Order: sequence, then C-alpha cells, then structure tokens
Amino acid sequence: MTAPREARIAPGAGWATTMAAGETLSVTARSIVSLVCLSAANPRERFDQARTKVYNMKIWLAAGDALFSKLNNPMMTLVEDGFDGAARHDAQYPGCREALAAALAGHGIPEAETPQPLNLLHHVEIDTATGLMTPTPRRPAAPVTMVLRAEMDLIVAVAACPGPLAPGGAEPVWVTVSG
Amino acid sequence: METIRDETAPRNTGWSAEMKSGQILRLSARTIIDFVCFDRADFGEAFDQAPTRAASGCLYLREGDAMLSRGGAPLMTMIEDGFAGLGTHDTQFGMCGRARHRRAAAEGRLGEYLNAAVQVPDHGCAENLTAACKPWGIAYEDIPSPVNLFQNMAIDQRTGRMARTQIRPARPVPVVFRAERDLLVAFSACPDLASATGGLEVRAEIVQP
Ligand SMILES: [Zn+2]
Repeated sequence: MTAPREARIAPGAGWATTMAAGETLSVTARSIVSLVCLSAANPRERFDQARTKVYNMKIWLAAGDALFSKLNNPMMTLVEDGFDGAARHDAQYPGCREALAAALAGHGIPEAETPQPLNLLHHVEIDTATGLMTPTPRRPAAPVTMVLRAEMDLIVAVAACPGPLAPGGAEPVWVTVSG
Repeated sequence: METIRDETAPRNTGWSAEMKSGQILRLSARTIIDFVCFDRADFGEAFDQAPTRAASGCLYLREGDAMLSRGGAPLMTMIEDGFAGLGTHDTQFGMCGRARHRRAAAEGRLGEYLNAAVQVPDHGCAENLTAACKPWGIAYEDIPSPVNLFQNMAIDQRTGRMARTQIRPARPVPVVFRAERDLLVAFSACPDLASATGGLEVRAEIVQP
C-alpha cells in the first residue's frame, strides 16, 4: 500500500498516513484539528504533550517549536504557523481521540496506544496564576495552513474535530504530504 | 482507622502499592513527587493529565480535583492539600530521567533547572517509576506523565513560558488522596534539580478509614 499523500478529511473524521523524515505535512483548516504522531520504526514511541511542553518550556506551541516523544526525541517541527499572531494551539485537552484511534487502527495501532494530541487552532485562554482554562471560539476567519516537518519516519494521524465552539461546527481539513 | 502502610521512600527512589477503593493515601514531603495511578483491573486505564485538566478546567491539581484515567474515569480525588496557599501542583511536566538529562546536557540546557550545587544524577523519575511499576509488568511507555506534586512553576501570562521555581514547603506537609476504585499507585521521590535540596525523602501512608 502506498501511503496517501493528500486528503480532504470530512468533518468529524480522522485520517492517517506514513511520512519519511524530512517530508512536510501541511494542514489547512479553520476549526480544531487534533494531530498525533508515532515513530514508524517503533510505534511504541509516541507524541507526548508533557515532554513537548517541557522541551519547549512553554504551555502552548508556535512556529519553530518541536513535537517530542515520550522517549525524549524530536518527532516533528512546526515550521509554519498560519494561526500565529491570531491565537495559539492547545496542548492541554484530550481532543478527538476516537477519530484519531479509528485512523490509526488502519496502521495496526491499538486504541490504547493513541496518545493525547496536539490540538491545532484550539485557542484556550489560560490564567497562569490560577491555572484556570477557558476554551474559546476564536478561530481563523478563513482556512489557514500549518506546516510540520517530520524529524523521523512517522505514522501521523489527523482528525477534523467536531468542535461545538467552532464557527459552523465541524469543518473539513485539507492535508498534504510533500517530499 | 487502620494504617495499612507507613513507609519512607528515600530521595531519588520509586515506591508503589495496591490500594482498595475508599482507602486513603497520604504523601508527606517538601520535595517534588512524580505521582501516577492505574486502575488495578485495567492498567491501560492509567492516570492521564489531559482528561484530568479537561474535567477540572485547571492547569494545577487542587484540593477537590479528581485524577482521571485516559478513558475519563475518576481514579483518585485530592481531599487535602497541605501546599494550598504556598504553591501549586503541576500537570504540565513529564518525568525527569537519564534520557532527559542527557539531552539537556547535550543542548547546554541543564542551567534551566539545575541548582549549581547539585550533581546531575545518573537516573531520575523515569527510571524510578519504571522500577516501581515493573512488578506489575507495566513498561515505561505505558507509565503516564504524572501529577508533579510540589512542583511549583511560574508561567508567563503573555508568552506561556514556564520557569521552575524553588517554592517548596519549609517542612514536610501532606497531600491526601482517596482511591475511587481499586488501584495501583506509584511515585518517584524526584531528584528535584531545581531546588537547593536536590530532592528529599517522601513518606507514604495508606489508611483504611
Ligand atoms: Zn523527577
């Protein structure tokens, strides 16, 4: 099976593919997109919200930041961020695990091995003194593009989240892998 | 009230125990504790930071907050917080450990958290929790990122940048949890490289009310 290189992900659905180190994944959307990655060589090595935040020493991600695995290795780098300046991406919430798990099942990944995702375009207001988090409906007016570069050979999964706070509810997501 | 366990885990070691639903776990320390728990009937139902935060709506674990499993089931509830008013318990960080320290050293980033007087240990919470969970056949990859008790962080409101602080209790204070189902609980007495102590012992008591 050749890995799919592009797709329009239907609202609420998930999608997964494999990509090689150095390739880029572009994600275009205007509603919440949950994204996870696993090492293709060792799918037990998974994206990890906590390790990612510690490595970047930030509670949210922006262009230039790396996505890290539980094993302390860089998996992807957010190289282009169309949301930057307008709002931020979330690394606090569970996101759309069912859609991600369903997409990963096609790659032989058990549901229990689906990590908690990075939630692109999910802007959460956080009061850092009290720690209180408030999800917001702030989204791009028109679809924006985030580009992530693979730092190792990967299985990636992307879900077009049904977000009750999103303008228009769930929307499609366009993904393209480029070499 | 019957005390089932009353033990002290030395600095930079792990500890684990099974608990019955309704039993009380009291952890007393003035140092960082990396703390996790698992449903005894299904270790895949491990503590999970993300659903825990989604339920509490908070970056910090507070008195009254539940620790949720990856599937969203309540595993434990924090019923008493001796750190309240002094500092906050972290749910952002993972575990320190050999791989983490090695990468930080290679990238010249040890200064971000290393107290100058403290030697970098050859192991940390990742190794301690792995050893503590090993008798139950749980691999490192399946040990969740913990609640980091007494890990008080300063987070910049504008940039979201996190900085370690040295805010710890002056003397050991308790953090108390009630088991909401039968559990495996485990912790590491972190070699707390941010604090002047470089980590201290942790007292663990399990009580049957
Ligand atoms: Zn530690």
